[in-house]
Amino acid sequence: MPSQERMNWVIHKVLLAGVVVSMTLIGVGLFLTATTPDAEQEWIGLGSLWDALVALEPVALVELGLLVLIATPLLRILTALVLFTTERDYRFILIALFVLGMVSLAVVVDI
Amino acid sequence: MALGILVVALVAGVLGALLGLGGGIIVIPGLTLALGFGMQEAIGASLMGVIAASTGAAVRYVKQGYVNVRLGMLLETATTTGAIIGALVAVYLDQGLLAILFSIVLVYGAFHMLTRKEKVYRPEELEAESQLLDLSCTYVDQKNGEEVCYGVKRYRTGLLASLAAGGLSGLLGVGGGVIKVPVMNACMCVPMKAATATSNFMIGVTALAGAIIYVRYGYLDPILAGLTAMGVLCGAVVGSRLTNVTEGGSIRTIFGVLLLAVAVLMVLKGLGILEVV
Repeated sequence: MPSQERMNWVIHKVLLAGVVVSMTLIGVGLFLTATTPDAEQEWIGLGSLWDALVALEPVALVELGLLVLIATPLLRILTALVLFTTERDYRFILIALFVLGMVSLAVVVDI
Repeated sequence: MALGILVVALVAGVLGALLGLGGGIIVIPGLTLALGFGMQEAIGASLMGVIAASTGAAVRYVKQGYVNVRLGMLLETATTTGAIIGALVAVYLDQGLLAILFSIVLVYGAFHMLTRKEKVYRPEELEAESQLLDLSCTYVDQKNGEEVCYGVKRYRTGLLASLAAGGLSGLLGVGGGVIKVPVMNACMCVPMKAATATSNFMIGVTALAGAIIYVRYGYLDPILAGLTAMGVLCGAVVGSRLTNVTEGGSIRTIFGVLLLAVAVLMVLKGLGILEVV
């Protein structure tokens, strides 16, 4: 089944990229936190994350890595959606959209 | 302390990748009971670990073709729905009673996996069921070089069970792999290696919802979460390599024993003897 092989290949690359980028950021961030005296260790709110990154706060690198890690499964669903679309596999387009919708609901709903 | 976190995370990663679990079952008690972290920090770190484990193991499993992507996506519709419903009704249910019910399900699954042999159906034997959705899939078992082509039975039952698995992950803070793997293997006739790989693949998306909420409210300890994620990922990379040298049967046995152990822990929790799990 060639479509199975293509899907596996593309999704493999997406997941690999996510893992490598996030682990590099987390690893460097943790190393810098451990070696910098009095480095900040508290969670930085998403609003001020960018400023902290520009200021090269080590903990901001860890946070960015965690965000990339979270984004990876999301990107994987989007990738599958695109592949199902190119194959005109309508049942699975609907299925992928449904999963995306449920995840977005988790972003919106207050629990 | 950092070393302790890494060790807990590594063990969770190896077992998680091998058994198709997120590893939260090991990370949460490890961080709270052994290292003295609070429940909330532990759950936040565990969620990040679960995503790392899932992604790290899936990288390899997808490449080797063990993951059934279509089956995974289909069941994800149910796990994500279940996770949201579970989180919403968690407030109204007696968690102790629920934990005991859950452990009954686990014991049933454990006996099923320990006593029965695995059955694999070829896609053409299941023609009637694959008319609506074709979920059949092929992989090459790296242990003996055999090509395994299998059809998927009873996907409606699988959807219902995934709804329950997602609901329990919302209610009790477990990953749901302990339910999905036995259901895929025993009920849907997915071979053990494909079932654990597909479960690994799915878990990241189920944990995603919880992780997003933790990030939105800033409930994460970045250092703890970062260390856990790294440790679990390294473990998952090792664990996903072990799949090539182990047999489906022995994974089944380890899984059955683990199910029994978790069931005992859940009963203790349900009776209020054990506070954390």
